[in-house]
Amino acid sequence: MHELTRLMRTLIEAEVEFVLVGGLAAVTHGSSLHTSDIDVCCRFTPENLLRLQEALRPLNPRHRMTPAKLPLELDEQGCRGLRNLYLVTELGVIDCLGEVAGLGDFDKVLADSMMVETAAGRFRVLTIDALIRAKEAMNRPHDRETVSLLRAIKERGA
Amino acid sequence: MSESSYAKKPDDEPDLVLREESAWEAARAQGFDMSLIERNLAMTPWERLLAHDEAIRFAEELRGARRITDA
Repeated sequence: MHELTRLMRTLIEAEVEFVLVGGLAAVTHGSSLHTSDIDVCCRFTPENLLRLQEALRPLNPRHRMTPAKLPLELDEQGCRGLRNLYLVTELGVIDCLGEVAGLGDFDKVLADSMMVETAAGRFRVLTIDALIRAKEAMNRPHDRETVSLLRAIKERGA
Repeated sequence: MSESSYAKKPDDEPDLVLREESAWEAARAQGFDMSLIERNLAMTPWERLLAHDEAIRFAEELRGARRITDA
């Protein structure tokens, strides 16, 4: 099931500290390319990760990269040393990244983000310039397509 | 007409100045349907996310329908 907006709302309401990055950030800026997951850059502190875990708990979060799809069961000690979390939930896939290629760690990503006010609450998303830099750094075929659209959107001053 | 109009063109001036292709036109030339971008830009960011969810949901329904047909 893909209900990425409900998944986003879950993070917003739980006050998880995150910046929306990746394909859904491009959609937020106006891209027409579809994505099947949420990529967020999170502050990888135990406090924030445990808040994330608590928010996702009703959605049965699991580590999607492990063969047995192990449930997300973090404790304060287990949070230390984590760099990324690749999760699947009942509402869709969410990848939580400690850093973004081309930009850097959470504080750098935060500095390259902007606040978006929505009906669901406020959240931060990469600026269009930062998103272009991140997509250029990844440089996969779909990243290059996204860059083309983001440049066009930027040209319109959107 | 003034004399300057007939002045010889400097050697370093190009005969033809090509207009730089806009990013918008470049994306159109790549095959993107820019009317979808126009439509998205007319929405709020949250409306764009909701529309994206709806498109994904519709695509999943179509895939489900195909499985029934194939069965």
